[in-house]
Amino acid sequence: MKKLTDERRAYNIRVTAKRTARNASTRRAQRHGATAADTGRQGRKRAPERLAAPEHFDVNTAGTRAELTAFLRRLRSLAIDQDMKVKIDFRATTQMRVAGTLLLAAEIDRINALTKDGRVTCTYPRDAVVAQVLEHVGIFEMLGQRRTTKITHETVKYWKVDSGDTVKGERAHHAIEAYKDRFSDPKRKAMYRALTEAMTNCRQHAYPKHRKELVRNWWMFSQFKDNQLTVGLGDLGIGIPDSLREDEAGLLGPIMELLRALHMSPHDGNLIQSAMKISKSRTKEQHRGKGLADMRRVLDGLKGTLQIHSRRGFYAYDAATGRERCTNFKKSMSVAGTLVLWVIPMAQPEGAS
Amino acid sequence: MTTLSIAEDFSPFPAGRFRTDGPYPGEAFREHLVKALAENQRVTVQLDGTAGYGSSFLEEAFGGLVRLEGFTSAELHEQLIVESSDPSLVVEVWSYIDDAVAEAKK
Repeated sequence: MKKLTDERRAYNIRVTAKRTARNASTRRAQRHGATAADTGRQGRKRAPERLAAPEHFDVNTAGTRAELTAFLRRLRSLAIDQDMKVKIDFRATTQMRVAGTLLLAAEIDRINALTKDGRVTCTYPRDAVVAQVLEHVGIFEMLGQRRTTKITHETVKYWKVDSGDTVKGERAHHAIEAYKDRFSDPKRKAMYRALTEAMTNCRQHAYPKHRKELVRNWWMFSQFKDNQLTVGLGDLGIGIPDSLREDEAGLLGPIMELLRALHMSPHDGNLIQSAMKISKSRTKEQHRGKGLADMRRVLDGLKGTLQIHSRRGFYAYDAATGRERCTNFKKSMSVAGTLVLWVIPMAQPEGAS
Repeated sequence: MTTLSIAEDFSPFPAGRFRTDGPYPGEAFREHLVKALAENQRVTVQLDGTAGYGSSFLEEAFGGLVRLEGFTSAELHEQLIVESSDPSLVVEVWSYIDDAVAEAKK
């Protein structure tokens, strides 16, 4: 065995002393509420990772969808998989659409519920309307942003936000009731049907028990702008294509038959479109599987448009023209979960010119 | 003879299918309805006054009478009256009952 030299012995003593001091510092920080994300290996508070938010929080074009999904994927990876603090930089953001804002709120809400340490914060946006949206829908509060913003912009005032994990008709009612002076009674009832069916779909299919998800929420946003009501309801579950593949509602058989008959491949977009067409399954569970078709059929009376974004699949239906389209995006542009969007033209309020 | 108003006797916000879905689902209303059918020769269900109905609620509440509670078509046509200012809702309810009857015969 080699004899320790005096130099080596002194080196070992120094390294041990440093390690002891570092561990003590980590323990002190953790006693004061620091997490692994804060302290890192050095036992000192780690600066948050800056993450630039996209210019457009939107999924309507391939470009904006690609940017938004990449941003959300990175946010999830940093905050959950890599256990890091993240600071979202909103300075370049100029547009917040219902779909994109809903996906952002859902992601942050989920991260906060899972980590409980407020690890995601943000910079204040340069765009005043963006700041008002983030304030009004509660995203600033979720991100611990202390600067308060007065809501003055006409379009922001009409944003409504809600979330939950069960099917609550009262919540759907309140989302629609705000616009009752522009919405006839039959139209309000039709929208109530669509929203409660979307909540029921989320509750029953989005988060299968075997996945052991800790957060099983839906999030609902609505906005009135330019005589048009946009309502979105989304979740961060397995998505419609995978839930069809798991065949809980017994629709997979009829859907695959339909796709084979039409010589169409079973990709995500085609699966969603086929599920919309099939309102009755041909298995013993015939009484189920009506929710998706309900969301579209309801729209016929409203003369609006319906969009469904789920994983790689996208489906759109225009009730005015009867036209449908579906797309299967690249894996990098996959939306986590499902987002259903209704865009409904609304009448002028009574007495308006 | 008795009248069951969903809006007043159950909830103005019926939604969802199963008890695990939420506070006022079709399964829960069906339990009220089964009790009323057991205690009365005729039961009128009034659909007006709610914020609306989803297919999941209606199918579980009414189709479930056949599928899960064992009522026959003849019994329901004798005992059950469904009323609404929207005739399409009444048609929808009976279609769920008829579909459940057809399914039970398979």
